[in-house]
Amino acid sequence: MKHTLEISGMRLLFDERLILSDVYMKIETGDTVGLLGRNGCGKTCLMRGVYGTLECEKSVIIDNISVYEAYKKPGLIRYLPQHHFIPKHLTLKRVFRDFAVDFERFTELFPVFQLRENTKIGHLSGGMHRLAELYVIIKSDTKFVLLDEPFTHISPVQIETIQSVIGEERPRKGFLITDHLFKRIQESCNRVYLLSNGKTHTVENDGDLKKLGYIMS
Amino acid sequence: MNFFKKIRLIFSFYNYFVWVSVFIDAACAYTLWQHGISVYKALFWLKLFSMGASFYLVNEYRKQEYFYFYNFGFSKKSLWIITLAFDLLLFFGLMILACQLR
Repeated sequence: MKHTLEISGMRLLFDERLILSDVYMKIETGDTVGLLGRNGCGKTCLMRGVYGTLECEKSVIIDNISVYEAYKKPGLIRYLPQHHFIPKHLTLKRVFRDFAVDFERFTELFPVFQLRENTKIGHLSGGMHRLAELYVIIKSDTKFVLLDEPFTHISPVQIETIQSVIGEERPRKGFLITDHLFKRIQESCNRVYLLSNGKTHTVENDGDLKKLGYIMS
Repeated sequence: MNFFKKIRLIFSFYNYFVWVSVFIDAACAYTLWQHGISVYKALFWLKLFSMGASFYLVNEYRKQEYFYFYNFGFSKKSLWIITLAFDLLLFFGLMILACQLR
């Protein structure tokens, strides 16, 4: 079944500074949508606004139903923040059980985690920690996944594996991804938006990015 | 989400301050057992202060980890109301026990 997430009318002010003013995005099951933007332009605010953990004026519609605090319905949206978010005292086994994700399959893809089921998250390296949290969010049972700078701390070969996992999940989910490596976003996403001056602009090619001041050449 | 999973997740959150809390409860119960009901008011305020301190410290040093619980549909408010209510009940229970054992 195809699901639709539509975001519009988002408006956010911080100390009278307008962060978001004219945002429109549409994500459907099977989409991988990229969101680009300079540092501090409001990408994270946009994601948290959609997720419902940041209060702002907005219209978030999922399957024709308006949702204000989407996070309260994990079956609709899951969100990977740009920082580590899994409590350090939990074991990998416990985290995978909470998200109802198969740990065996994870170790097949990332053998470095073999026999580490009972390791506490706090004892993993930054990259392994990121990989585990990214994987559970992508694989968990939900309709839409918001990934805020998911590839930070992860090695290129593991990024490729993660991209293949996203590919596997695409028939069942819609993805919104932010990242500063715009080439990777352009290659892996079927639609790209650039957030600039609080507004979203559709990006087709490098020329659009140059015109909007995101790249120089 | 089933009931036991909810309890497990809430306990994971409670885990941030449960040991400090149990230590304070035990110290309060021992003091009440030693000195009687006259010290109860002071112990109650000490407990409230420790709960406020837990709230502040978790918000200050563990705020990023709220997203783990958001991903299961818990709001910050619901996490704190449930855990602090349980924590206070535990305190009252131990105080009553200390009074009866005296």
